[in-house]
Amino acid sequence: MKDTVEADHILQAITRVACQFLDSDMALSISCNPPAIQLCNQVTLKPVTVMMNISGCFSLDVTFSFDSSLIEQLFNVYCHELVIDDSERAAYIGETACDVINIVIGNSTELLAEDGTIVNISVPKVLVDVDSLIMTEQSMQQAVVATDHGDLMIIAMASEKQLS
Amino acid sequence: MKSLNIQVVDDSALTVKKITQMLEEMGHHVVQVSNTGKTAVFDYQYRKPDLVTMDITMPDMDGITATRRILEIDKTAKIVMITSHSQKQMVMDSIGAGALGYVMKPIDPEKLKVSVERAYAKKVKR
Repeated sequence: MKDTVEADHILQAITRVACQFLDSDMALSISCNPPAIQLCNQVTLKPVTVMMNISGCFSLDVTFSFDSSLIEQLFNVYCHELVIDDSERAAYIGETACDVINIVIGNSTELLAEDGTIVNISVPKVLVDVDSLIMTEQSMQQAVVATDHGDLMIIAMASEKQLS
Repeated sequence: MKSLNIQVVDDSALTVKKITQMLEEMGHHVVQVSNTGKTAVFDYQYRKPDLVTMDITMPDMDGITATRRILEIDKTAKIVMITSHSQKQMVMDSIGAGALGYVMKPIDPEKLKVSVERAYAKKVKR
């Protein structure tokens, strides 16, 4: 595993794929392309948040945090042909968020691969009752993808030792 | 083509719902849903479906390992990977494990149809 992670390079690749997916597959208008990347040590999360780990020649946790209006719209588009009971709606909104991060991170793996090393991705998980992410040092990078239905915040977190 | 009995392997309930709907609209029957690699291998043995759609990233056993295990049990098994992984090496590893097709997520129904038809029509010599 590498000693340092070029998190801004990784985050740029992921946000690029996210913008393509939201624009082409989900028919959203992206108002800021490419989004600016900021270094931070604290992030206040939006109402629906999911996380995945990327590993291979580095290890990085990536979080997608959605405005309510955005995840509602994504659910409506992604699930429009499916019959979903009202009782299942909340669960499938979480599933939609998991599928979105899985598709975006998975579709980014070819861009993240170095020297043919396999890039492994974890199963996505919904963060429940987590309002913010706090690190002792500035070891998080975030980008906000602004759409006509709300914002998607993408956060990359490596251990402080690994970040460059 | 004839209607196939298909096993869908994916840990996402939503993706299973989407794949099932697409396959049924093509005239196939989803006879088994498995949510992990291990259960996929177990379920295959008693269901013996005509074809399996297989995710890669799953809890407890990944789809490439599950593909190898199924083919150890049944060399004639026909497996199509359905995954978000875009890395070429992952495609090569899937084909190396014995998968007969590879469909990227988000799933294009037409690409899924073509991949299922091609995989089922392939004469398997392993």
